[in-house]
Amino acid sequence: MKPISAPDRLDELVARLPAEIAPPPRVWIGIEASLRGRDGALDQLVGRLPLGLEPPADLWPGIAVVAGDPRAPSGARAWPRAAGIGVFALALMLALSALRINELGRELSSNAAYTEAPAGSDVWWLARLDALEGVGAPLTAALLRASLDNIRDNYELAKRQRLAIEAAMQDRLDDPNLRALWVHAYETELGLADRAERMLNDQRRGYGI
Amino acid sequence: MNKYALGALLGCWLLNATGQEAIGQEIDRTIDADPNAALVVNNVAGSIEIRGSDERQVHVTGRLGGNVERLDVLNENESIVVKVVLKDRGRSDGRFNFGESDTDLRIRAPRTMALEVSAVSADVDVGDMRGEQRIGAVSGDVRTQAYGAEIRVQSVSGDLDIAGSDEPIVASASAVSGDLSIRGTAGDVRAESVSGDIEIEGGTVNRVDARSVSGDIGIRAALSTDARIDAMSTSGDIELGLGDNADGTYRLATFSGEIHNCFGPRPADQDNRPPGTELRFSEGKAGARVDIRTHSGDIDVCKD
Repeated sequence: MKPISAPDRLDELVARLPAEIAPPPRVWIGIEASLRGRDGALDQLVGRLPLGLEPPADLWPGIAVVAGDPRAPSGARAWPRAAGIGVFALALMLALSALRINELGRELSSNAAYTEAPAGSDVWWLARLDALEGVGAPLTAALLRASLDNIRDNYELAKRQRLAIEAAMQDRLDDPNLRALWVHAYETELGLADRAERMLNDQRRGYGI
Repeated sequence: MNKYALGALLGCWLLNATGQEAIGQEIDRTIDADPNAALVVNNVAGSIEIRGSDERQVHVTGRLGGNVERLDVLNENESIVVKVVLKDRGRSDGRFNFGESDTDLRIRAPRTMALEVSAVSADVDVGDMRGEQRIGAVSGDVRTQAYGAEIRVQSVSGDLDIAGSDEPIVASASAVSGDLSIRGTAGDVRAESVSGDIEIEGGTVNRVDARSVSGDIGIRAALSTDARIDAMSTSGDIELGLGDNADGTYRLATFSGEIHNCFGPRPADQDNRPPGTELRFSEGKAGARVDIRTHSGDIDVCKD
């Protein structure tokens, strides 16, 4: 039997996502492109989830519910199945983002802090600032430093907002509006970490070099 | 004439002969261009001004700043590339004055060319370009005009300003802390910001998707019969001002903010209710769909 390719399996996952919490199509297009020719990568990536951004407290219980794990905490079982799938999808994005970040990190620096620190942590941001100093034109690096700080501030803002929404969800697990806002805040965090990484990569490839 | 002066003169002659300018020198370059090709512009600091013309040439004027290695104006893979090349680490003494680093580019190009602009702290100003546009800046402001072709603009802290025409547009703008202003628009608009404010003001829209984390969102537009408006902010306020025609289905939801609506049913007493308010109603012939959600921001919906 022909094995299911990674993009096909991804399509299958996407088809199961409720439109309300499905990540934007452009995100999936990017993920699909990164998986082409790497069949089997999906399973590996899911196994690498802890390498990415620090997952929210309810990420793993949500996935456990989807996977039908009887050991999942009872509160987690109350988490609607649809939201669990959405969380799983986000976790997948997270894993792919982490993979790409780490690949870039290896290109940019042999500094372990660059490649191994959890994305979004203090060490992760400091490693990016350091890496910025090491590549490209000095003028651009100086200009980009302030922007990297700006992105980090906004990342922290989105994270605080996400945590506030999670607190509100404690008593309202089935509230679709809170779920949608939570997904939005989390996507924003991911997007900002990705933007910081892309900015660094653009600098390496030559903003005017 | 001593040998040093002779050397300097020879250097100037060589620069002119190869189309290269000295630092601080005025730029004046022209290259033939296919009106259906793409124009790619890259500048780090200073400004980029691009204007559409009827000519079949790209004409670049302006002034080079310090820390510039050279200016490339060339035809590369059927695209016209205008690129300010900076000195890399090996050729720079690592010191620079930000003011002196500015390079100002003024470009006239066939107005049908597709546009791809990349800037760091350079401000970008585009006018009368009718092809597709992709403009990215980091801290520079971006100002452009949108016509029928798709337009995508992005920044980190720079403000973004898109002025539409009467033609329906497909516009996408994204910033981190910069403010977004999309005016005179009709068609499909997507706007995203983290802490910057979003203002969308225009004619009749088909699709608006506006999202922020803490920035406020203001939308003033008329709804097409099958319009869809999605606006979401975690802590920013959202204000929707519609014209006379506000026909549609509405869902307004906030966890701890307040809802103010000038039409439709009144929300529950907001001082004495548990967290989480959702107001759903239809107005007139319900063709359009409006969906607004916040966590702690207020929602205001009125016919202006």
